Amino acid sequence: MKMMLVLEDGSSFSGESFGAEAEVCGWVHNDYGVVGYQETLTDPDNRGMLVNMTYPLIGNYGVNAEDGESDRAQASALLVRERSRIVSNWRAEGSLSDWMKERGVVGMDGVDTRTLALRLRDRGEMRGVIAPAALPVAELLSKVRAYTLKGASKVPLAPELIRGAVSGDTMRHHVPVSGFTEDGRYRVVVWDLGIRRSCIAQLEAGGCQVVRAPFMVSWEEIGALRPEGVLISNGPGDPRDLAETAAQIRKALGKLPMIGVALGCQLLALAGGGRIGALKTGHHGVNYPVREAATGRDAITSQNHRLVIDAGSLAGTDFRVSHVNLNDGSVEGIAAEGLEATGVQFIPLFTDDGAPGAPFAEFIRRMERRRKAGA
Amino acid sequence: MPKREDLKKILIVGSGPIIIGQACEFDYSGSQACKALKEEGYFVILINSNPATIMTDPGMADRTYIEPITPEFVEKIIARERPDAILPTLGGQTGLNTAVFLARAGVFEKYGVEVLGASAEAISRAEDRGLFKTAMQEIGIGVPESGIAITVEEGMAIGLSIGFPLILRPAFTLGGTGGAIAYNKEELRESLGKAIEYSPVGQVLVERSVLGWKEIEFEVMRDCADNVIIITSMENVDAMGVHTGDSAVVAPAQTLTAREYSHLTALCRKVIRKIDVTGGGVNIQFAVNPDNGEVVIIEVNPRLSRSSALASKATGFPIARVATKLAVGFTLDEVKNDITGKTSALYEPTIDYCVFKVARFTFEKFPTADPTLNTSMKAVGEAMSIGRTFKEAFQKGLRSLETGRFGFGADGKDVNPLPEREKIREKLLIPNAERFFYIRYAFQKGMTIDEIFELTRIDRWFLANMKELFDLEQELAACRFRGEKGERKGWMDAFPAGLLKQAKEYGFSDVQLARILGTDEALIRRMRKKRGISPVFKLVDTCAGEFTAEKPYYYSTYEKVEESVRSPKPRVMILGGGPNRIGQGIEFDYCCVHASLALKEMGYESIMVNSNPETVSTDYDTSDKLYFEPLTREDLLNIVEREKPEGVIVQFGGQTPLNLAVPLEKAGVPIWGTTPDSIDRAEDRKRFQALLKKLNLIQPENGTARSFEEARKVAGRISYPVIVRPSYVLGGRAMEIVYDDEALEEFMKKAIRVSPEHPILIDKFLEDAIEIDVDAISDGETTVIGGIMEHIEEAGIHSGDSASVIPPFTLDAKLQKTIAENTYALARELQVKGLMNIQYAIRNDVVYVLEVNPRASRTVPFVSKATGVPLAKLATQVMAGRTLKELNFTKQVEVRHVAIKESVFPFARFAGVDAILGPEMKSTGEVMGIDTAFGRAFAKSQIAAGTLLPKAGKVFVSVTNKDKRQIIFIAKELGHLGFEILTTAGTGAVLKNNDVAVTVLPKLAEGRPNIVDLMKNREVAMIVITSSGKKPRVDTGIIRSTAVRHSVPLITTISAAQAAVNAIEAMLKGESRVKTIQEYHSEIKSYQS
Repeated sequence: MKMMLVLEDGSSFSGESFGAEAEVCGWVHNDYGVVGYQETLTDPDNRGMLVNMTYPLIGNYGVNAEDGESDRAQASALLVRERSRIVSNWRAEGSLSDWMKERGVVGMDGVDTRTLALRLRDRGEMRGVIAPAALPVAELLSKVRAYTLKGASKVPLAPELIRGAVSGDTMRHHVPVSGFTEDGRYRVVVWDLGIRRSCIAQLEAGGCQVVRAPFMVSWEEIGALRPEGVLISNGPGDPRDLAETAAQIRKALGKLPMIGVALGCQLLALAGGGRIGALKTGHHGVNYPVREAATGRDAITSQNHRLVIDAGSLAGTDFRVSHVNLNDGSVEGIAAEGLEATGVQFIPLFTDDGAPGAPFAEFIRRMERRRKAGA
Repeated sequence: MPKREDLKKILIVGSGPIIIGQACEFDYSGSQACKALKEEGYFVILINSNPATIMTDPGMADRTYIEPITPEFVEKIIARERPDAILPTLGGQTGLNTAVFLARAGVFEKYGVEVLGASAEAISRAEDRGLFKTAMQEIGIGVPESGIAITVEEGMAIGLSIGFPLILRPAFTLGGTGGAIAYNKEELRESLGKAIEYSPVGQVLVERSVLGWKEIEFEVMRDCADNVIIITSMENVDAMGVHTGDSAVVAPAQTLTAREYSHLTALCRKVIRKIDVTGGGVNIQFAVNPDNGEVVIIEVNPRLSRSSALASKATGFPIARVATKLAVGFTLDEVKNDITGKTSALYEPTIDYCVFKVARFTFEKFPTADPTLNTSMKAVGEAMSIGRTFKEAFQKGLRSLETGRFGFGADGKDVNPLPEREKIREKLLIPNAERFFYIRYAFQKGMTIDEIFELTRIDRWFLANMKELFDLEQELAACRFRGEKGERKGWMDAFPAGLLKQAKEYGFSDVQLARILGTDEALIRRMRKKRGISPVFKLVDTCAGEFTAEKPYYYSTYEKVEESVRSPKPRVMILGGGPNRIGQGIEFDYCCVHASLALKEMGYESIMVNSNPETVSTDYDTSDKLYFEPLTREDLLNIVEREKPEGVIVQFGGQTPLNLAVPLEKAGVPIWGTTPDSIDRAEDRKRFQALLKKLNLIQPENGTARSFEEARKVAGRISYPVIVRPSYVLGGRAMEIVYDDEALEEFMKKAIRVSPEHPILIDKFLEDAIEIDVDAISDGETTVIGGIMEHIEEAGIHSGDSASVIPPFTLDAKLQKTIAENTYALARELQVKGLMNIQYAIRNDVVYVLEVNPRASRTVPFVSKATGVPLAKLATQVMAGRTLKELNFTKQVEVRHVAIKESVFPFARFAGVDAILGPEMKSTGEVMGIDTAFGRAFAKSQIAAGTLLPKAGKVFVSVTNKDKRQIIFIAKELGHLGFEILTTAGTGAVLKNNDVAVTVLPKLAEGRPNIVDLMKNREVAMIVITSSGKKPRVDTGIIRSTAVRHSVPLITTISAAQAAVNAIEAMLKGESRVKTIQEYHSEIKSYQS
């Protein structure tokens, strides 16, 4: 079926349907990764997103059960230049198209993805609607406009996005039923806003035992589990929609080592008194250079964010900017040493030797120091 | 970290002549290095023996030595210049190996020279097979089971314990030279001997074969602050077993999941840290088992390479430039990304297109060579194409090769009738240059993707894409025009626009569509224009459009939005030379680059079109604008329509653009310089004859023939020997010298079978004539000779293969004057605007005109380096309307030195091929020897070309009857110089009669030890063996190929033998000295630009 994407500026892009056929609305952003469409589709940060893949050949290696960043499809739609008609990889268990169809992800094939990417770059990220091309553009445009109205019921706010993104187990229970087992591992509670599997895997590889708590729990409930550290996870949505969570985080600040990743980083900033702004065009790829202020060390990082911490707003707070994006100077990390709290806007990845990424390693070291001091 | 202030003078080592495995990518990287260092204020010293390079232009480095790249000469330069550091990682394997030898010999220590880019230890860790294996095992990376041998017996033991098939990799060689695959004991034994011999350290790795695995490469860079970035991944389309230089390659890799990709990039970072390159780039090759993902590391190149040039052109990331900055202490974040103008080099490029690289072969020049592709590289060039999909890039790549193909078959060049299934299976199983086309035949035969995969081990993803092309071709064929003439218009109007558009999106050329649809190219063009189906141009911008680009380059694709913005400046387009091949290579790229620079200087917007990723012309900062496109009529017209240039320059890119001159002019394209009609007058046989007649110039007698009978009549009239060739070919293709009716008949049979519609050209062959090459420049009024070159080899040997000398060494003033006058007359008559090249033969003081080429010739860079006159630049200025008077170039310059161009041959690559020279060009590259006298200059040219002329030992001499008189003198001189003369009975008799002491050896079949035995035992220092143009005797062929295999200096003409004796004498007389090209040029007073 012919499909049409209409952006809020009135521009439209056509393509051929694959995966699920449905009408979807959402933020449209580019994903600059050459590989990793399955990770992109399952990345909780992409909940509800319409993702435009800049690399034109998508689906080549199929999908498999291992490579998801979560247990479900998160993005609402995937726009590609050319969907592969064949799957070629020894680990492939099925085609991207079938996978998307089963999970209700709308696909558009044959899209002029580069022109779309340049439009989003030049005009800023926008919202859009994908629908069968048979519908008049004017009608679709009015749908996008309605969708973008503030307070419109159709626009999902962060709580709704997070509820959709995190795994059912975490959301079902208000307080984690399973507490920690005493086995010597560090006890870490994850404030689960939709965490990536690879983040949990890094903590576990670093000797942590992880218990997930839903985003609406109170600090008291988390504290009752006697954690040694708290991770405020990545996840979808605007942190400003999560004022209550930020208030709970504020209570926890300084009480134990905390680390925030992506959305979690932004919540830390809000909790600490900082403000959030938006980039004209977000960072959605695997090749962003970031400098750590303290050491001057640079790293190439994976990022997926449109919203960003306002550096100026941190003045007078306990936080300082710890990491900066070398391309555009945006904030990629914050730290409040006195409170043992750090946040990184980028996604920490395993080191080449399979150890937890530097931010997690530092977080674990803090718990270790505390244990030693306590012992 | 900022640049190092403790360094002032840096020596860059180039890669020498173009050979298989080491081509103009090192001119690209070396030129970038020169620029990158000079802009930081370093004093740059350069050595490169190859005069056809941009890097050896006098303005590139502060001091430029066109001297042999050997440890001996590099040491002389170090002693004279006292550099603080040497940068050996941009000069290919030659540069790297030279540095390793000098480091081991303690030369760097002696003179206090630091090695930049990669330390000697790092180089050894990557190149020494044993150290490499240990290093990889230490960081837990799998290497194929293997062992190192320095003797054949050791190698046999290792090989038998591992099991067949086995891969042999000699240490420290380039392009897999001497490498082999062995399937049995016999092959192993034979290959081991060869491999040990080819390795400069006599070491070979015997390795478990991972044939059929995927081959994945990465380009990785690291700075001194330990930042590591991945430039790109590349996936070889051909599976393991085919050298990556011969394999088709795509960038980025297409069939790796993100998890596998991250795993491999993690390994890459570990590897570069373990090898410990602290300021530069490496190329890393992995083999991945397609059935279970098992990874082993195959090779690491701690230097700029052909792959890094490809990665650079594929992504826009200037690897050579950045590597140079890193080598002098900068960190990645301190180097700007010029393409975006905003970001730094601390960034991993991401792309939004598919790049396809495909190798160009010249097996037709070496019909006896084994055309199987294996671990020893055989390609002489490559083309790169860019498309938004693999299918588009693949078809563009195949037509970029300029082999007469216009895509994935269906272009009228397919084998007809369709080969048998058995033949197809064989062609799929054994890698060869035509394999892609056989995949299409396999589809025609109904073979499945799985069947083809089992035979080729080419990933199913690629095969499936090829199948989609084939399926669309079938769909198109169903719409073929079948009506009467008058019905064409109706058919055209009714043709489904969607199908046509899809065909163009799939990369089908108009030529293919015309064939499939039963019409002609022009009509297809009209048909799609009418429907608004035209390409747009997209950007190579390093970032997939994330940032706006300041200096991108362009490729075409069938999408909607045009991104190439026409400049308000007057625009001039230069057509490049396409993929390197024998006869058309770096020399033409040199001219194109000069044209571009000259245009920019004059205020034009220079627009380069080329498909060759190895070149300087396709570097991002050479021209104002670069189109990475195939050089075909269709693709060029698309660019012309977009750019609407004021002029198009066709005379610098060699034969490819020249052949396009007439079709382009017919399409209304403004051709600059000499008119296509004049070009045609020089190229068309009949018109050329008329031209010479009009000017009263002499041509060897000639005629044309379409049958043996006609040919015999012509030969009877002009008398044997004659030169025969088919009329449609270039670069001496299939040219032969024929001495009798029998040979003529054989040739005619062959030629008529190849091309029944073209007549055969027959020229009187002037035996023992002197051949002269002249490069001249003309503005239509004034003509000035750039250089008169006298060939050392006599006429009959292709001018591209002869050694040639400036100034001419046997011509008197009167002959030179005649040559000059002939040249002026031809230039005037043809109204040449720009460059022209004329070949003359001189016999008995008669000057014959052999050939006139109203275009830049292969010798332009050599003449420019020898004389200091920037001919290509002047020619560009002339084409733009300036006169030579205005440019102050009205008189030929006179030089006081002797410059000799020597050719370099690929015989060593093609085992068993006879190393004999003839009218068909066979050399891949050239070197220049320059000094104050002939002997010394010739000695340098030989050393630079890799011919190690001996200073003592035994010389084997065997010549044909006509050479016997001259050999006496040569043998006597050799005797005086202390050489022992070995010879055959025939030559020996003549020498003995003339009081030369000789040892007569038996004929090969008649006794032992014979000369072949002696060569194998390394008891022969040099071979002089000439043969009459008639069919060479088997013996001489074996002797020549044995000499090539065992690197014994081989001389095949009597004139070259005389020159060699002069050179040996000069070498024995004293040490050779080195001198910069800037010093030589400053001694030439008559021209100052």
